[in-house]
Amino acid sequence: MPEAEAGPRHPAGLAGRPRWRVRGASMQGYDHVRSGGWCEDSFAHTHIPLDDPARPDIQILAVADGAGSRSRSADGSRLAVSTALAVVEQGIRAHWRPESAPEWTALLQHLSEQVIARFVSVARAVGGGDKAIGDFATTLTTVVLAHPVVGYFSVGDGFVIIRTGAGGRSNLHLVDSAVATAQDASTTTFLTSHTAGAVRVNAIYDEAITGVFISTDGLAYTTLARDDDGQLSLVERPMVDTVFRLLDQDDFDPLGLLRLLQRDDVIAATQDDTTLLAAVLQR
Amino acid sequence: MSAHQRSAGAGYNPSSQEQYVDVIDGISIPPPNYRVLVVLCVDTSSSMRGEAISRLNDALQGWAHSMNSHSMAASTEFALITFGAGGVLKWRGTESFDPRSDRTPFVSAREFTAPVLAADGVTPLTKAVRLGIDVIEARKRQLTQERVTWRRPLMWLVTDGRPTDDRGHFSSDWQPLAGEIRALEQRRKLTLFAIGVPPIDDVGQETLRQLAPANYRIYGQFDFNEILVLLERSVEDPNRSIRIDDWKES
Repeated sequence: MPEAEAGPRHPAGLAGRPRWRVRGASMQGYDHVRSGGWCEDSFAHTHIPLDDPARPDIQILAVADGAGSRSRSADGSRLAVSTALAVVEQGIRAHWRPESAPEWTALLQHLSEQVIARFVSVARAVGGGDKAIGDFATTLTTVVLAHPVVGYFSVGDGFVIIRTGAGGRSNLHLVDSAVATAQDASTTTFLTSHTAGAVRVNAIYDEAITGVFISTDGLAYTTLARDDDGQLSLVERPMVDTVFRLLDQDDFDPLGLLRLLQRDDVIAATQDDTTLLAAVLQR
Repeated sequence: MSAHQRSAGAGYNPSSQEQYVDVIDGISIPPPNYRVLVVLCVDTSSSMRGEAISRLNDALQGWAHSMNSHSMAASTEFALITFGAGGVLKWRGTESFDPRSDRTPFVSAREFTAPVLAADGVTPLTKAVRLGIDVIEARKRQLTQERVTWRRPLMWLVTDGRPTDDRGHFSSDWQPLAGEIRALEQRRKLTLFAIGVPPIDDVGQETLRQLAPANYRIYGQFDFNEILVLLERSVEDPNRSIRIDDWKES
Protein backbone atom coordinates (compact mmCIF):
# COMPACT_ATOMS: atom_id res chain seq x y z
CA MET A 1 0.00 0.00 0.00
CA PRO A 2 1.57 3.31 -1.01
CA GLU A 3 2.29 5.76 1.73
CA ALA A 4 3.46 9.32 1.83
CA GLU A 5 3.44 11.53 4.82
CA ALA A 6 3.96 15.17 5.37
CA GLY A 7 5.41 15.26 8.83
CA PRO A 8 4.70 17.95 11.40
CA ARG A 9 4.18 21.52 10.32
CA HIS A 10 6.46 24.12 11.76
CA PRO A 11 5.27 25.26 15.16
CA ALA A 12 4.58 28.91 15.46
CA GLY A 13 6.96 31.11 17.36
CA LEU A 14 10.16 29.37 16.26
CA ALA A 15 10.82 31.47 13.20
CA GLY A 16 14.51 31.83 12.46
CA ARG A 17 15.53 28.68 14.23
CA PRO A 18 17.08 25.98 12.02
CA ARG A 19 14.91 22.92 11.68
CA TRP A 20 14.75 19.70 9.75
CA ARG A 21 11.95 19.06 7.29
CA VAL A 22 11.40 15.30 7.00
CA ARG A 23 9.35 13.66 4.28
CA GLY A 24 8.95 10.05 3.25
CA ALA A 25 7.17 7.73 0.85
CA SER A 26 6.86 4.02 0.33
CA MET A 27 5.42 2.00 -2.54
CA GLN A 28 4.96 -1.71 -3.01
CA GLY A 29 6.79 -3.33 -5.89
CA TYR A 30 5.28 -4.56 -9.12
CA ASP A 31 5.06 -8.14 -7.99
CA HIS A 32 3.23 -7.17 -4.81
CA VAL A 33 0.84 -4.92 -6.71
CA ARG A 34 -0.01 -7.71 -9.11
CA SER A 35 -0.51 -10.31 -6.40
CA GLY A 36 -2.33 -7.98 -4.00
CA GLY A 37 0.49 -8.30 -1.49
CA TRP A 38 1.50 -5.84 1.15
CA CYS A 39 4.34 -3.42 0.89
CA GLU A 40 7.02 -5.05 3.00
CA ASP A 41 8.99 -1.83 3.46
CA SER A 42 8.34 0.52 6.37
CA PHE A 43 9.57 3.94 7.41
CA ALA A 44 9.05 6.14 10.42
CA HIS A 45 10.57 9.16 12.11
CA THR A 46 10.27 11.11 15.30
CA HIS A 47 12.03 14.01 16.94
CA ILE A 48 13.37 15.07 20.30
CA PRO A 49 12.82 18.78 21.03
CA LEU A 50 15.90 20.78 21.93
CA ASP A 51 15.82 23.96 23.92
CA ASP A 52 18.55 25.49 21.83
CA PRO A 53 17.78 28.40 19.50
CA ALA A 54 20.90 27.70 17.46
CA ARG A 55 20.27 24.04 16.76
CA PRO A 56 17.45 22.09 15.20
CA ASP A 57 15.63 19.39 17.13
CA ILE A 58 17.14 15.95 17.02
CA GLN A 59 15.52 13.74 14.40
CA ILE A 60 15.43 9.96 14.34
CA LEU A 61 14.68 8.31 11.00
CA ALA A 62 14.30 4.63 10.21
CA VAL A 63 13.60 2.52 7.11
CA ALA A 64 13.22 -1.24 6.95
CA ASP A 65 12.81 -3.78 4.18
CA GLY A 66 11.04 -7.03 5.08
CA ALA A 67 12.44 -10.14 3.41
CA GLY A 68 10.10 -11.13 0.58
CA SER A 69 10.54 -14.80 1.26
CA ARG A 70 9.32 -14.63 4.87
CA SER A 71 5.71 -14.89 5.90
CA ARG A 72 5.64 -12.02 8.42
CA SER A 73 8.23 -9.74 6.90
CA ALA A 74 5.81 -6.83 6.58
CA ASP A 75 5.16 -7.12 10.31
CA GLY A 76 8.90 -7.41 10.81
CA SER A 77 9.69 -4.17 9.01
CA ARG A 78 7.03 -2.29 10.96
CA LEU A 79 8.29 -3.75 14.20
CA ALA A 80 11.84 -2.81 13.27
CA VAL A 81 11.20 0.87 12.62
CA SER A 82 8.96 1.29 15.66
CA THR A 83 11.46 -0.47 17.89
CA ALA A 84 14.33 1.61 16.51
CA LEU A 85 12.54 4.88 17.15
CA ALA A 86 11.48 3.92 20.66
CA VAL A 87 14.84 2.55 21.76
CA VAL A 88 16.92 5.31 20.19
CA GLU A 89 14.73 8.11 21.51
CA GLN A 90 14.82 6.60 24.98
CA GLY A 91 18.57 6.09 24.76
CA ILE A 92 19.31 9.62 23.63
CA ARG A 93 17.12 11.12 26.34
CA ALA A 94 18.84 8.96 28.92
CA HIS A 95 22.34 9.93 27.76
CA TRP A 96 21.56 13.60 27.04
CA ARG A 97 23.62 13.95 24.88
CA PRO A 98 26.92 13.21 23.18
CA GLU A 99 28.64 15.99 21.23
CA SER A 100 31.43 14.45 19.18
CA ALA A 101 31.07 11.97 16.35
CA PRO A 102 32.99 9.24 18.22
CA GLU A 103 30.70 9.67 21.21
CA TRP A 104 27.66 9.34 18.97
CA THR A 105 29.14 6.28 17.33
CA ALA A 106 29.63 4.65 20.71
CA LEU A 107 26.10 5.47 21.79
CA LEU A 108 24.58 4.20 18.54
CA GLN A 109 26.60 1.00 18.74
CA HIS A 110 25.13 0.43 22.18
CA LEU A 111 21.61 1.33 21.08
CA SER A 112 21.77 -0.85 17.98
CA GLU A 113 22.39 -3.85 20.20
CA GLN A 114 19.38 -2.90 22.29
CA VAL A 115 17.20 -2.48 19.20
CA ILE A 116 18.13 -5.91 17.87
CA ALA A 117 17.63 -7.56 21.25
CA ARG A 118 14.20 -6.00 21.71
CA PHE A 119 13.18 -6.78 18.11
CA VAL A 120 14.11 -10.44 18.51
CA SER A 121 12.38 -10.60 21.87
CA VAL A 122 9.12 -9.21 20.49
CA ALA A 123 9.28 -11.37 17.35
CA ARG A 124 9.78 -14.44 19.54
CA ALA A 125 6.84 -13.51 21.75
CA VAL A 126 4.50 -12.62 18.91
CA GLY A 127 5.56 -15.49 16.70
CA GLY A 128 5.34 -18.07 19.45
CA GLY A 129 8.92 -19.20 19.87
CA ASP A 130 12.46 -19.16 18.51
CA LYS A 131 11.52 -20.95 15.29
CA ALA A 132 9.16 -18.12 14.32
CA ILE A 133 11.73 -15.33 14.67
CA GLY A 134 12.97 -15.82 11.13
CA ASP A 135 9.49 -15.16 9.75
CA PHE A 136 9.96 -11.50 10.73
CA ALA A 137 13.21 -11.10 8.77
CA THR A 138 13.89 -7.49 7.86
CA THR A 139 16.69 -5.05 7.27
CA LEU A 140 16.90 -1.80 9.26
CA THR A 141 18.66 1.49 8.71
CA THR A 142 18.36 4.10 11.45
CA VAL A 143 19.73 7.64 11.25
CA VAL A 144 20.02 10.25 13.98
CA LEU A 145 20.27 13.90 12.95
CA ALA A 146 21.90 15.79 15.79
CA HIS A 147 23.23 18.68 13.82
CA PRO A 148 26.08 19.00 13.02
CA VAL A 149 26.39 15.26 13.64
CA VAL A 150 24.70 12.62 11.52
CA GLY A 151 24.92 9.15 13.00
CA TYR A 152 23.50 5.86 11.84
CA PHE A 153 23.42 2.13 12.33
CA SER A 154 22.36 -0.27 9.63
CA VAL A 155 21.75 -3.99 9.23
CA GLY A 156 21.25 -5.20 5.67
CA ASP A 157 21.24 -3.39 2.37
CA GLY A 158 19.75 0.04 3.08
CA PHE A 159 21.86 3.04 2.20
CA VAL A 160 22.49 6.59 3.43
CA ILE A 161 23.35 9.69 1.39
CA ILE A 162 24.32 13.07 2.85
CA ARG A 163 24.03 16.45 1.16
CA THR A 164 26.41 19.23 2.03
CA GLY A 165 25.95 22.87 1.15
CA ALA A 166 23.73 23.63 -1.81
CA GLY A 167 23.83 20.10 -3.19
CA GLY A 168 24.61 19.03 -6.73
CA ARG A 169 26.33 15.74 -7.42
CA SER A 170 29.70 16.86 -6.03
CA ASN A 171 28.03 17.69 -2.72
CA LEU A 172 26.21 14.37 -2.36
CA HIS A 173 28.03 11.69 -0.41
CA LEU A 174 27.23 8.01 -0.15
CA VAL A 175 28.18 7.37 3.46
CA ASP A 176 26.81 3.87 3.86
CA SER A 177 25.87 0.97 1.62
CA ALA A 178 26.15 -2.75 2.24
CA VAL A 179 26.60 -3.66 -1.40
CA ALA A 180 30.35 -3.18 -1.47
CA THR A 181 31.03 -5.66 -4.24
CA ALA A 182 29.07 -6.96 -7.18
CA GLN A 183 29.22 -10.43 -5.67
CA ASP A 184 27.38 -9.16 -2.61
CA ALA A 185 24.48 -7.75 -4.59
CA SER A 186 22.26 -10.75 -3.96
CA THR A 187 23.09 -11.20 -0.31
CA THR A 188 21.90 -9.31 2.69
CA THR A 189 21.71 -9.57 6.45
CA PHE A 190 18.54 -9.28 8.50
CA LEU A 191 17.86 -8.37 12.10
CA THR A 192 16.96 -12.02 12.55
CA SER A 193 20.30 -13.17 11.10
CA HIS A 194 23.46 -13.72 13.08
CA THR A 195 24.14 -10.00 13.35
CA ALA A 196 27.38 -10.04 15.31
CA GLY A 197 29.78 -7.90 13.30
CA ALA A 198 27.14 -7.20 10.66
CA VAL A 199 25.88 -3.93 12.11
CA ARG A 200 27.42 -0.91 10.42
CA VAL A 201 27.67 2.04 12.80
CA ASN A 202 29.14 5.46 12.14
CA ALA A 203 28.73 9.14 12.89
CA ILE A 204 29.90 12.14 10.88
CA TYR A 205 30.50 15.67 12.15
CA ASP A 206 30.10 18.30 9.45
CA GLU A 207 28.65 21.77 9.88
CA ALA A 208 27.95 21.84 6.14
CA ILE A 209 25.39 18.99 6.18
CA THR A 210 22.07 20.21 4.78
CA GLY A 211 20.29 16.99 3.85
CA VAL A 212 20.09 13.27 4.52
CA PHE A 213 18.47 10.63 2.33
CA ILE A 214 17.94 7.05 3.46
CA SER A 215 16.39 4.22 1.53
CA THR A 216 15.88 0.51 1.36
CA ASP A 217 17.69 -1.37 -1.39
CA GLY A 218 14.81 -0.93 -3.85
CA LEU A 219 16.09 2.45 -4.95
CA ALA A 220 19.77 1.54 -4.92
CA TYR A 221 19.65 0.61 -8.57
CA THR A 222 18.28 4.02 -9.57
CA THR A 223 20.76 5.90 -7.43
CA LEU A 224 24.08 4.07 -7.24
CA ALA A 225 26.54 2.82 -9.82
CA ARG A 226 30.07 1.50 -9.83
CA ASP A 227 32.85 3.91 -10.65
CA ASP A 228 36.01 3.13 -12.60
CA ASP A 229 37.53 1.49 -9.52
CA GLY A 230 34.52 -0.75 -9.04
CA GLN A 231 33.39 1.19 -5.98
CA LEU A 232 29.79 2.24 -5.53
CA SER A 233 29.05 5.90 -6.02
CA LEU A 234 26.18 8.07 -7.09
CA VAL A 235 24.98 7.97 -10.67
CA GLU A 236 25.83 10.90 -12.92
CA ARG A 237 22.51 12.70 -12.46
CA PRO A 238 21.21 11.44 -9.12
CA MET A 239 17.50 11.80 -8.53
CA VAL A 240 18.38 12.31 -4.86
CA ASP A 241 19.57 15.81 -5.70
CA THR A 242 16.21 16.71 -7.20
CA VAL A 243 14.36 15.18 -4.26
CA PHE A 244 16.37 17.36 -1.88
CA ARG A 245 15.64 20.47 -3.96
CA LEU A 246 11.92 19.71 -4.00
CA LEU A 247 11.88 19.22 -0.25
CA ASP A 248 13.64 22.55 0.17
CA GLN A 249 10.46 24.18 -1.15
CA ASP A 250 7.94 25.10 1.53
CA ASP A 251 4.93 24.26 -0.61
CA PHE A 252 6.09 20.98 -2.11
CA ASP A 253 3.39 18.33 -1.70
CA PRO A 254 5.06 15.11 -0.48
CA LEU A 255 2.60 13.08 -2.54
CA GLY A 256 4.95 14.01 -5.36
CA LEU A 257 7.38 11.51 -3.90
CA LEU A 258 4.84 8.77 -4.57
CA ARG A 259 4.54 9.96 -8.14
CA LEU A 260 8.29 9.45 -8.44
CA LEU A 261 8.14 5.93 -6.99
CA GLN A 262 5.26 5.07 -9.33
CA ARG A 263 7.07 6.02 -12.51
CA ASP A 264 7.33 3.15 -14.98
CA ASP A 265 11.08 3.45 -15.30
CA VAL A 266 11.53 3.38 -11.52
CA ILE A 267 9.34 0.28 -11.29
CA ALA A 268 11.25 -1.34 -14.13
CA ALA A 269 14.59 -0.52 -12.56
CA THR A 270 13.75 -1.69 -9.07
CA GLN A 271 11.23 -4.56 -9.27
CA ASP A 272 10.96 -4.18 -5.53
CA ASP A 273 9.18 -2.27 -2.82
CA THR A 274 10.65 1.22 -2.74
CA THR A 275 11.04 3.57 0.19
CA LEU A 276 12.71 6.90 0.66
CA LEU A 277 12.94 9.07 3.72
CA ALA A 278 14.69 12.40 3.40
CA ALA A 279 15.42 15.37 5.61
CA VAL A 280 16.53 18.84 4.58
CA LEU A 281 17.81 21.51 6.90
CA GLN A 282 15.98 24.81 6.82
CA ARG A 283 17.75 27.84 8.16
CA MET B 1 -9.31 21.52 -3.18
CA SER B 2 -8.67 18.57 -0.92
CA ALA B 3 -8.16 18.75 2.80
CA HIS B 4 -4.59 17.69 2.27
CA GLN B 5 -3.96 20.50 -0.18
CA ARG B 6 -5.56 23.03 2.13
CA SER B 7 -3.26 21.88 4.91
CA ALA B 8 -0.29 22.94 2.82
CA GLY B 9 -0.85 26.44 4.13
CA ALA B 10 -0.69 29.90 2.68
CA GLY B 11 2.24 29.02 0.45
CA TYR B 12 0.21 26.52 -1.55
CA ASN B 13 0.07 27.47 -5.18
CA PRO B 14 -1.50 25.18 -7.77
CA SER B 15 0.79 26.37 -10.49
CA SER B 16 3.77 25.48 -8.31
CA GLN B 17 2.43 21.95 -7.77
CA GLU B 18 2.07 21.54 -11.51
CA GLN B 19 5.65 22.66 -11.93
CA TYR B 20 6.74 20.11 -9.33
CA VAL B 21 4.97 17.38 -11.28
CA ASP B 22 6.98 18.41 -14.32
CA VAL B 23 10.17 18.32 -12.26
CA ILE B 24 9.37 14.86 -10.91
CA ASP B 25 8.48 13.51 -14.33
CA GLY B 26 11.70 14.98 -15.67
CA ILE B 27 14.01 13.29 -13.17
CA SER B 28 16.52 11.16 -14.99
CA ILE B 29 16.37 7.50 -13.99
CA PRO B 30 19.36 5.55 -15.27
CA PRO B 31 18.84 2.12 -16.79
CA PRO B 32 19.25 -0.72 -14.29
CA ASN B 33 22.88 -1.37 -13.45
CA TYR B 34 22.25 -4.92 -12.30
CA ARG B 35 21.23 -8.11 -14.01
CA VAL B 36 19.18 -11.14 -13.19
CA LEU B 37 20.77 -14.07 -15.00
CA VAL B 38 18.36 -16.88 -15.85
CA VAL B 39 19.35 -20.15 -17.47
CA LEU B 40 16.58 -22.19 -19.02
CA CYS B 41 17.90 -25.73 -19.27
CA VAL B 42 15.49 -27.82 -21.33
CA ASP B 43 15.29 -31.50 -22.16
CA THR B 44 14.98 -32.13 -25.93
CA SER B 45 15.64 -35.87 -25.83
CA SER B 46 13.74 -38.28 -28.04
CA SER B 47 11.10 -38.97 -25.39
CA MET B 48 9.97 -35.34 -25.80
CA ARG B 49 8.85 -36.04 -29.37
CA GLY B 50 5.30 -35.28 -30.36
CA GLU B 51 2.97 -33.37 -28.09
CA ALA B 52 5.62 -32.45 -25.53
CA ILE B 53 8.05 -30.66 -27.86
CA SER B 54 5.17 -29.09 -29.76
CA ARG B 55 3.68 -27.61 -26.59
CA LEU B 56 7.09 -26.53 -25.38
CA ASN B 57 7.77 -24.67 -28.63
CA ASP B 58 4.39 -22.97 -28.54
CA ALA B 59 4.88 -21.89 -24.93
CA LEU B 60 8.42 -20.62 -25.56
CA GLN B 61 7.34 -18.57 -28.57
CA GLY B 62 4.55 -16.81 -26.73
CA TRP B 63 6.59 -16.33 -23.60
CA ALA B 64 9.56 -14.86 -25.47
CA HIS B 65 7.28 -12.34 -27.11
CA SER B 66 5.76 -11.28 -23.79
CA MET B 67 9.17 -11.00 -22.13
CA ASN B 68 10.46 -8.56 -24.76
CA SER B 69 8.30 -5.77 -23.38
CA HIS B 70 8.09 -6.89 -19.76
CA SER B 71 8.87 -4.36 -17.05
CA MET B 72 11.88 -6.43 -16.00
CA ALA B 73 13.24 -6.86 -19.52
CA ALA B 74 15.91 -4.21 -19.12
CA SER B 75 17.55 -5.98 -16.19
CA THR B 76 17.06 -9.64 -17.10
CA GLU B 77 19.16 -11.87 -19.33
CA PHE B 78 18.18 -15.32 -20.48
CA ALA B 79 20.34 -18.20 -21.64
CA LEU B 80 18.80 -21.23 -23.30
CA ILE B 81 20.59 -24.56 -23.04
CA THR B 82 19.13 -27.75 -24.44
CA PHE B 83 20.13 -31.35 -23.92
CA GLY B 84 18.99 -34.12 -26.21
CA ALA B 85 18.79 -33.32 -29.90
CA GLY B 86 22.31 -32.46 -31.03
CA GLY B 87 23.72 -33.24 -27.57
CA VAL B 88 24.15 -30.29 -25.22
CA LEU B 89 23.72 -26.98 -27.02
CA LYS B 90 23.88 -23.27 -26.24
CA TRP B 91 21.44 -21.05 -28.05
CA ARG B 92 21.24 -17.41 -29.00
CA GLY B 93 17.93 -16.78 -30.64
CA THR B 94 17.39 -19.36 -33.33
CA GLU B 95 21.08 -20.21 -33.57
CA SER B 96 22.67 -23.04 -31.60
CA PHE B 97 26.39 -23.36 -31.12
CA ASP B 98 29.07 -25.53 -29.61
CA PRO B 99 28.94 -25.60 -25.81
CA ARG B 100 32.76 -25.39 -25.74
CA SER B 101 32.61 -21.98 -27.38
CA ASP B 102 33.48 -18.97 -25.22
CA ARG B 103 30.51 -17.17 -26.66
CA THR B 104 27.88 -16.40 -24.05
CA PRO B 105 24.35 -17.63 -24.61
CA PHE B 106 22.94 -14.82 -22.45
CA VAL B 107 20.80 -12.29 -24.26
CA SER B 108 18.73 -9.45 -22.90
CA ALA B 109 15.11 -10.33 -22.24
CA ARG B 110 14.27 -7.52 -24.65
CA GLU B 111 15.97 -9.43 -27.45
CA PHE B 112 15.17 -12.98 -26.43
CA THR B 113 13.71 -15.07 -29.23
CA ALA B 114 12.82 -18.72 -29.02
CA PRO B 115 14.05 -21.27 -31.53
CA VAL B 116 11.91 -24.11 -32.80
CA LEU B 117 13.31 -27.03 -30.87
CA ALA B 118 13.44 -30.60 -32.14
CA ALA B 119 13.39 -33.71 -29.95
CA ASP B 120 15.95 -36.45 -30.41
CA GLY B 121 18.79 -38.28 -28.72
CA VAL B 122 19.57 -39.08 -25.09
CA THR B 123 19.37 -37.13 -21.80
CA PRO B 124 22.77 -35.66 -20.80
CA LEU B 125 21.15 -33.67 -18.00
CA THR B 126 24.21 -33.45 -15.77
CA LYS B 127 26.40 -32.08 -18.52
CA ALA B 128 23.76 -29.49 -19.37
CA VAL B 129 23.36 -28.28 -15.79
CA ARG B 130 27.12 -28.02 -15.38
CA LEU B 131 27.25 -26.00 -18.59
CA GLY B 132 24.55 -23.75 -17.13
CA ILE B 133 26.67 -23.12 -14.05
CA ASP B 134 29.70 -22.41 -16.23
CA VAL B 135 27.92 -19.89 -18.45
CA ILE B 136 26.63 -18.07 -15.37
CA GLU B 137 30.13 -17.77 -13.94
CA ALA B 138 31.49 -16.60 -17.30
CA ARG B 139 28.79 -13.98 -17.62
CA LYS B 140 29.43 -12.77 -14.08
CA ARG B 141 33.08 -12.24 -14.98
CA GLN B 142 31.99 -10.13 -17.94
CA LEU B 143 29.60 -8.13 -15.78
CA THR B 144 32.34 -7.50 -13.24
CA GLN B 145 34.45 -5.97 -16.00
CA GLU B 146 31.47 -3.86 -17.01
CA ARG B 147 30.97 -2.81 -13.35
CA VAL B 148 27.48 -4.21 -13.33
CA THR B 149 26.10 -6.08 -10.31
CA TRP B 150 23.81 -9.07 -10.36
CA ARG B 151 21.20 -10.69 -8.25
CA ARG B 152 21.24 -14.36 -7.44
CA PRO B 153 21.24 -16.28 -10.75
CA LEU B 154 18.42 -18.69 -11.43
CA MET B 155 18.42 -21.95 -13.33
CA TRP B 156 15.22 -23.63 -14.46
CA LEU B 157 15.65 -27.27 -15.40
CA VAL B 158 12.83 -28.98 -17.30
CA THR B 159 13.08 -32.69 -18.08
CA ASP B 160 10.97 -35.75 -18.70
CA GLY B 161 13.44 -38.46 -17.88
CA ARG B 162 16.40 -39.89 -16.06
CA PRO B 163 19.87 -38.49 -16.68
CA THR B 164 21.97 -40.51 -19.10
CA ASP B 165 25.51 -40.40 -20.35
CA ASP B 166 26.28 -39.46 -23.94
CA ARG B 167 25.51 -43.00 -25.12
CA GLY B 168 22.11 -43.18 -23.49
CA HIS B 169 22.99 -45.31 -20.49
CA PHE B 170 21.32 -44.30 -17.26
CA SER B 171 23.89 -42.45 -15.21
CA SER B 172 24.37 -41.47 -11.60
CA ASP B 173 26.79 -38.70 -12.50
CA TRP B 174 24.24 -36.18 -11.21
CA GLN B 175 24.80 -37.26 -7.59
CA PRO B 176 27.92 -35.17 -6.88
CA LEU B 177 26.24 -32.32 -8.75
CA ALA B 178 23.49 -32.20 -6.13
CA GLY B 179 26.03 -31.38 -3.42
CA GLU B 180 27.68 -28.76 -5.58
CA ILE B 181 24.35 -27.07 -6.20
CA ARG B 182 23.57 -27.09 -2.45
CA ALA B 183 26.89 -25.36 -1.82
CA LEU B 184 26.19 -22.73 -4.48
CA GLU B 185 22.72 -22.10 -3.10
CA GLN B 186 24.01 -21.73 0.44
CA ARG B 187 26.39 -19.06 -0.82
CA ARG B 188 23.49 -17.44 -2.71
CA LYS B 189 25.24 -17.94 -6.02
CA LEU B 190 22.43 -19.93 -7.61
CA THR B 191 18.87 -21.11 -7.17
CA LEU B 192 17.86 -24.21 -9.09
CA PHE B 193 14.27 -24.99 -9.95
CA ALA B 194 13.70 -28.51 -11.26
CA ILE B 195 10.56 -29.43 -13.16
CA GLY B 196 9.51 -32.91 -14.26
CA VAL B 197 7.00 -33.51 -17.03
CA PRO B 198 5.52 -36.79 -18.34
CA PRO B 199 6.64 -39.52 -18.76
CA ILE B 200 9.21 -38.99 -16.01
CA ASP B 201 9.49 -42.10 -13.83
CA ASP B 202 10.09 -42.51 -10.12
CA VAL B 203 13.85 -42.49 -10.48
CA GLY B 204 13.73 -39.35 -12.56
CA GLN B 205 11.50 -37.68 -10.01
CA GLU B 206 13.83 -38.65 -7.19
CA THR B 207 16.73 -37.18 -9.16
CA LEU B 208 14.97 -33.82 -9.40
CA ARG B 209 14.06 -33.94 -5.72
CA GLN B 210 17.71 -34.45 -4.83
CA LEU B 211 18.88 -31.72 -7.18
CA ALA B 212 16.38 -29.13 -5.93
CA PRO B 213 14.82 -30.26 -2.65
CA ALA B 214 13.09 -26.93 -1.99
CA ASN B 215 12.17 -26.11 -5.56
CA TYR B 216 11.17 -29.17 -7.53
CA ARG B 217 7.80 -30.04 -8.94
CA ILE B 218 6.38 -32.84 -11.02
CA TYR B 219 3.66 -32.04 -13.51
CA GLY B 220 1.15 -34.55 -14.76
CA GLN B 221 0.77 -32.81 -18.08
CA PHE B 222 2.76 -30.58 -20.43
CA ASP B 223 1.82 -27.31 -18.79
CA PHE B 224 4.79 -25.32 -20.05
CA ASN B 225 2.91 -22.02 -19.97
CA GLU B 226 2.40 -22.46 -16.24
CA ILE B 227 6.06 -23.31 -15.77
CA LEU B 228 7.13 -20.17 -17.60
CA VAL B 229 4.80 -18.04 -15.48
CA LEU B 230 6.49 -19.43 -12.39
CA LEU B 231 9.86 -18.65 -13.93
CA GLU B 232 8.75 -15.08 -14.55
CA ARG B 233 7.65 -14.71 -10.94
CA SER B 234 10.95 -16.02 -9.70
CA VAL B 235 12.73 -13.33 -11.70
CA GLU B 236 10.51 -10.61 -10.27
CA ASP B 237 11.42 -11.71 -6.77
CA PRO B 238 14.61 -13.76 -6.94
CA ASN B 239 14.80 -14.12 -3.18
CA ARG B 240 11.33 -15.54 -2.73
CA SER B 241 11.24 -19.21 -2.03
CA ILE B 242 8.94 -21.22 -4.22
CA ARG B 243 6.78 -22.80 -1.59
CA ILE B 244 4.39 -25.58 -2.28
CA ASP B 245 1.39 -23.24 -2.09
CA ASP B 246 2.92 -21.05 -4.77
CA TRP B 247 2.56 -23.85 -7.26
CA LYS B 248 -0.52 -24.73 -9.17
CA GLU B 249 -1.23 -28.41 -8.91
CA SER B 250 -1.31 -30.01 -12.31
